[in-house]
Amino acid sequence: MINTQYIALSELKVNESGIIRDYRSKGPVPYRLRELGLVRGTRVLVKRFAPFEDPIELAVRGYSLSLRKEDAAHILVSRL
Amino acid sequence: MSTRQLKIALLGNPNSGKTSIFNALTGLRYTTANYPGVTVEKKTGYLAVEGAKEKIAVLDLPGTYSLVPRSLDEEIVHDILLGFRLDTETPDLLVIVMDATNLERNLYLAIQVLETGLPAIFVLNMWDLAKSNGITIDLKKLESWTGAACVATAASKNQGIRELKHLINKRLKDLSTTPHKPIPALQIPAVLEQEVSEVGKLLEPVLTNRKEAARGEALRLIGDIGMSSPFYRVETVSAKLRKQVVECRKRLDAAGIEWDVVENECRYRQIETICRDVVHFQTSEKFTVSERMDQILTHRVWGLLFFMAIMGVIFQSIFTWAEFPMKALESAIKNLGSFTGGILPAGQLNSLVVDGMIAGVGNVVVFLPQIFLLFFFIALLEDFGYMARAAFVLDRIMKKVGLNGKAFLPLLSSFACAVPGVMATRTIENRSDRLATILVAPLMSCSARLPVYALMIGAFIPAGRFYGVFSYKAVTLFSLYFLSLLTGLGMAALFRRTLLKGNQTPFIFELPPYRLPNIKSVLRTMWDRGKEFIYRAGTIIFFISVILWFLASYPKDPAVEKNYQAQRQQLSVTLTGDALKTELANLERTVSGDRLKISFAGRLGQAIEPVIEPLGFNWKIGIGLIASFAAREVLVSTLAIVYNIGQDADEKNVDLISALQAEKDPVTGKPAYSPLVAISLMVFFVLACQCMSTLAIVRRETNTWGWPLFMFTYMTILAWVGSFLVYQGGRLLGF
Repeated sequence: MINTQYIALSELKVNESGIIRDYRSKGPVPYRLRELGLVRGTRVLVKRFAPFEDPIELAVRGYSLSLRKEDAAHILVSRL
Repeated sequence: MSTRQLKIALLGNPNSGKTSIFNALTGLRYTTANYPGVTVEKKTGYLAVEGAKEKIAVLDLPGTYSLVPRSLDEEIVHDILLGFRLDTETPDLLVIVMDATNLERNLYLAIQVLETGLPAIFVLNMWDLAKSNGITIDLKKLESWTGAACVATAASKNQGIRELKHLINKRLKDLSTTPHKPIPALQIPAVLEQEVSEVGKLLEPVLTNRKEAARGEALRLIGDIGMSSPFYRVETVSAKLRKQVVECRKRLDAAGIEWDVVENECRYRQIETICRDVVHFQTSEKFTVSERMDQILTHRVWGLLFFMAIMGVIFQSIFTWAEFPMKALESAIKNLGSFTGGILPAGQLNSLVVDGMIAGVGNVVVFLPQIFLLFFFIALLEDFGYMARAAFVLDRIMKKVGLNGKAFLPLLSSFACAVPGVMATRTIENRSDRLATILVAPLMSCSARLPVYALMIGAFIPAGRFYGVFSYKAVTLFSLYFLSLLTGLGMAALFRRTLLKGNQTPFIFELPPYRLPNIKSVLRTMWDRGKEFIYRAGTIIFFISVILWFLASYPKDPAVEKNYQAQRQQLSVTLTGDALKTELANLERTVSGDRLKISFAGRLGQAIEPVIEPLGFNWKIGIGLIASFAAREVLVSTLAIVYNIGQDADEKNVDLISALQAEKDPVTGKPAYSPLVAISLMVFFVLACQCMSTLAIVRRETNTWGWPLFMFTYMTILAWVGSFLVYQGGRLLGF
């Protein structure tokens, strides 16, 4: 269920964190992200943006992950 | 006990320090090869144990995040663990390497693997880093949760290696008496369990000796939305399997079960339960060293500046450090040539060995110092953890041309030499991205083009300055590099939009903590890659050298040879001492020029004159173009032979420069080469694929002749069109 209060992960600002609520799409990208630990209920922190604002560096489950904004846009989070 | 050799295999997530563990276990004594039919590296060695009677083979599997394969590397791991690859036996014991700072994600693969039923040991690597980050892991508890014996290591400091070796030996010995304690089954909804067992039954004929792996595999096949698993390609079961899975997905949809999410989420629930009991955090507010470095190295301003600085340093050192060994190699090859020439009887065999094999292979060998240095720097930056940062910083720029951040380094390396550049594309998982990067790598202006630029600029570009500041010569050289970069990126964008549209795989990667590079393993990696180039490309380069020699030596004109002998005779009668030597050398130069002109290569050069005339080139340059296929810098020595100056002339040779400047057009009587012709020729060299080493390595990396042929064709067309536009455009403008 997509709640209207949820925002795309790509909308979080630096040093903001959120809880993953859902994915907007199905397919190999969300699947791989979930395998890497980004399942519903997981807390993520936006550490920084690369020099041209893309990709994003996330802290999740104790490690750092880089993903492009276009992929982050498919992840819905609730801001913490 | 059987006398069969015992085999263990190392596996784990990328960046878990698996390679360091492998190096420590084998004492850096291992061999590398490729898995048959694919360019995935297969590293095998033997466990180094003092006083051990039987040898234990160690296999280093590629790094992978899950048993749902998304790349060739991951498919290899999947297939070996399920006893599905004929060329590699299933290992007796698995050593699963995990990053202790990051246990949750590492356990995802580890538990999937445990569920396949193979006996395994857990190695919690980077224990030191975890400790300093305030993480403690209870190994006893982890063992009782998972059934796998655990050992803590810090491979970079060589800690825990002895314990690990001991544990491996112990486990291998008691495998038959103490069987593997299975991990509790993953909790999944009952409806799904039913479907999983149905799909699992279909898998049994394929998983002949690994039946216990069927459950996990069936669960993943149901979740594999794109049906990309290798099992969907097994002819005997594929059709039935697809039908079964499609139908079961419908039933699961009806039951409200998200079949593509269920394994991920249930497994992380399982992992979280384990970790709550096993892992203890002592949260510290202080930034880790890695964190502080990242604030600079990935900063929007400093990050870019640092990247440029580090590349500047690398290039500077490649050109200055490589110069001395290159000069030394050059003279060593020359000496080897004259030494061999001296012991072999004069004649065709002598020429084949000296001018064909030694000189031909020598043209490539000269570049080895540069190639090795580049491999060294690449391995150093990889080990340090900087590569991922460079990809992070530059991804946005590369995305514009349809490539990703990981393409930057191979392209940059190609400015020194395309060979290490092409080999460095292996880090790019996406096949289309990788092919596009390989295809444009040789467009980057490599160092072998420099002698050609130097000759042409030295001979034809006037000494003046634009606005009294920028010298014409420097501006020309800069423009050539700029053209090469621009064309390379443009072609990459074109390929990604047409030929290699491909699937859009995401660009997701981990930014591992920085580590102090281990110099021994960096050197070893450099050596492995360099050796691979020599072995793999060597044979192809050897054969092309022999063919080119043949083309440049045959056919022979009996009249020319007879005349040559007669003149020699006459000189030795009329002259003595130094005068004779000089005259003989002069004669030799004239004759070698004549010989080349009547050879196949010479005739080919003359035959293509109509094709290259619109570019402003005459047949003499035509011969040079044919010969420089061996390696670009050969153009210089070939032109020297054509102009009867002798093949030892280099790009700074005054005689060669004045001969080029004095050349007249036979029809108009005007100088044959103008600055415009020189620019046209340099543009041709920027764009053309005049390099057999590159073609040989592309053949090796793509496993087909199709891609290197395509590369050669498109670049030759590009070069012709580019030169045509420059020359004809220049003439229209009145140059």
